[in-house]
Amino acid sequence: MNLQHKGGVAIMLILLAGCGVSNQAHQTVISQLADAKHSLDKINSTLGLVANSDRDYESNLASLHTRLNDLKDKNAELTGQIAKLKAQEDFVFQSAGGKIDAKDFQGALEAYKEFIDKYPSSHRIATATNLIARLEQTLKTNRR
Amino acid sequence: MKVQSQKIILVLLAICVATLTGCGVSQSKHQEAVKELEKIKSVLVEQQITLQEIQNEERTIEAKESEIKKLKDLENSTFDDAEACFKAHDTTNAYRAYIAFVRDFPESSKISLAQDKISKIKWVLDAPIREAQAKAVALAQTEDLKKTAFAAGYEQGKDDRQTGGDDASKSDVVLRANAISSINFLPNSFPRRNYYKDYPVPRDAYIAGFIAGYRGSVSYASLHPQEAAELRSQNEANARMVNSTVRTVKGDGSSKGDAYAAARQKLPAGAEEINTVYDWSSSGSDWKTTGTRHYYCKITYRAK
Repeated sequence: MNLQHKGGVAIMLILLAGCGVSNQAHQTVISQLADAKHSLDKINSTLGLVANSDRDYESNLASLHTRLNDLKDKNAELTGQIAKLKAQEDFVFQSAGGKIDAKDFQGALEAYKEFIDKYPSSHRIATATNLIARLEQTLKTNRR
Repeated sequence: MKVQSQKIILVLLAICVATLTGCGVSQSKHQEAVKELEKIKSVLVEQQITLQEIQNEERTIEAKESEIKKLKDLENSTFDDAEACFKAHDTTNAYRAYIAFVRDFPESSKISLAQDKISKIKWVLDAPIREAQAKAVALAQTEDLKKTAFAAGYEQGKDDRQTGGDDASKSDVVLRANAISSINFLPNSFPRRNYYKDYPVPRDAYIAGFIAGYRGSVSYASLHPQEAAELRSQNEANARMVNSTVRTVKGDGSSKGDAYAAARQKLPAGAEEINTVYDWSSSGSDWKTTGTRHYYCKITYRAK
């Protein structure tokens, strides 16, 4: 085999191995790409979003991020609101009662005392005092 | 040879070109597709995660909004929770919730409603207790009835033994028949008819008492020691049963009233009369004749 012949074979091999990809392998990638896009379209349609290009997919994702951040802000705001409401007189009084239901009489006693300290002008002071007396009696009996 | 090999190379080159153009894809085009796939995949993953997070946040917000609604009107929401339990027939939790409402909101305008519900639920919750109490009363009544019947039978059996010639040889079958026929002579105050039909337990107790009363008069000395021991033990048990609460007193006189008065005098203080039985004996040969009658009265009573 002469030099020219060898050169020809080398060019052929380079062409076959380095410059192209088999159609089958390429089709697999294309099919996976179609599947992924289909999944994205499905999610987007449930969210009422439309995507006509890859850029749309990215912008939809960005809007979802914005929505998530908004929700997180709202959540934090609600947490603050709950904390404020839980500081209200009714709730504090009712929470002390909840301790009685849970048979935590010592906890309830402390909670009612705390209530009296916190809301000395409340209209529930008499009830709280009465409950404190009953709880002290119960605890005394239990100790015996 | 040289020309031939050149031809072969050309053919092979043609095959390569055909493979590249027809059967294969250029590397750059393929790489572009791979890149796009990776990008779309990462968008997809990120979008799924974000969506999941959004849903979680929405759920939390929903729960918090509901909590805030409750907290803003604690009194009504606590009452509504109790009402919901009541409507769902969850009586135990409804009871707890109403009790808690009364305790936590004593000045509420709904207190009377809550108290009304508490008493209704209590009635339902106490039903098994009431049922058990009724059963216990019924059982005690049956036991009393049995004791009374046994005591009446026992006394009648003793009388029959004394008035019947002290015949120790009578079989249980005969005594049973005698007991049943003696039921017919019980006064109307004794539910004798029912002893046959509606009250088999006291009827059997009466018959058992009758036989025990009859046999109780047997002289132990005339029996085999083992039989005597068994009979003594049986008699003692019977006596305990008869004497526990139910006893009898007897009186006699020229009229029913005198006989009753004589028996009545023997009743201990606080005794509760259960039954009164009369009998009489005549000096004449025929009870229908006007011969003088002597009356007997037997009062069965429950000692206090």
